[in-house]
Amino acid sequence: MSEDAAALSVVLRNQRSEVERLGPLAEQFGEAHGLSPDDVFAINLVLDEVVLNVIEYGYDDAAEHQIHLLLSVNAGVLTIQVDDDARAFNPLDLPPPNLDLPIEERPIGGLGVHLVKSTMDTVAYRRDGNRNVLTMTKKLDADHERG
Amino acid sequence: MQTMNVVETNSPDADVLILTLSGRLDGTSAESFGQQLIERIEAGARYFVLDLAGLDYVSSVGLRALALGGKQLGPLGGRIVLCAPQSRVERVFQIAGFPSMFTTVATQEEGLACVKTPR
Repeated sequence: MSEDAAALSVVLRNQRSEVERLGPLAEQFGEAHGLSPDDVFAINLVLDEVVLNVIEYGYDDAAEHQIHLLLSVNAGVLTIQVDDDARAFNPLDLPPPNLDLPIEERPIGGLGVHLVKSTMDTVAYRRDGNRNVLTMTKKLDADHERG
Repeated sequence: MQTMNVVETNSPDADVLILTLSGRLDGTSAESFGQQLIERIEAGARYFVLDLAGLDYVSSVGLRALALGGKQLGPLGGRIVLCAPQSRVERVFQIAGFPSMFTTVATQEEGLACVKTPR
């Protein structure tokens, strides 16, 4: 199977209801590529965190915007790319949360980016013109069916 | 479309609320669940045993709802105990540092046994 045939490209609008599509999308991609339940969960989680962040905090206007998702599997490595025209935001600039604080002192929130960084092996950000491009990779569980 | 069910089970202890969660604690369900928790706390509930055996998925908005509930309960002397999370859900809890915020136990019975004991 060629790399292109293995890729899934999806365009979302910047509406809160669009996140409901992400679970079924992860399932569908996982099924097509024989991915493990852990990997399907990881894809769902990463898409949820990144896309919800963009929709909730990325836009200053009320206009419709497009968020592009590209998922692919190549040589046992999953690549997820999220590309949007939201305000420039590099999630890698966020400091990691202090997880040792007791519940009373713990700030609420800020965990999404931490979950993404912990779930994926690599996370790279670039600003391309007026678009944020976030590219993330993860080595798939060894038991997934190749091809 | 609601992605998660919350069922209140009869509790052997009138002070303890047992809530069984099933499905997905995600962007679709987290807000109403968080609200439910807060309403229960405002109505006087202090001890929560959450049975998570049927919970398949959690994302940061779900963690946030739990953390808000726990934070509100702290000064009131209350507590949330998490029971029987599936391995993938538990891993998310761990990444998020939940072990320092919530007690997690393997069964609902263990949760009932420890929820009223201060940490």
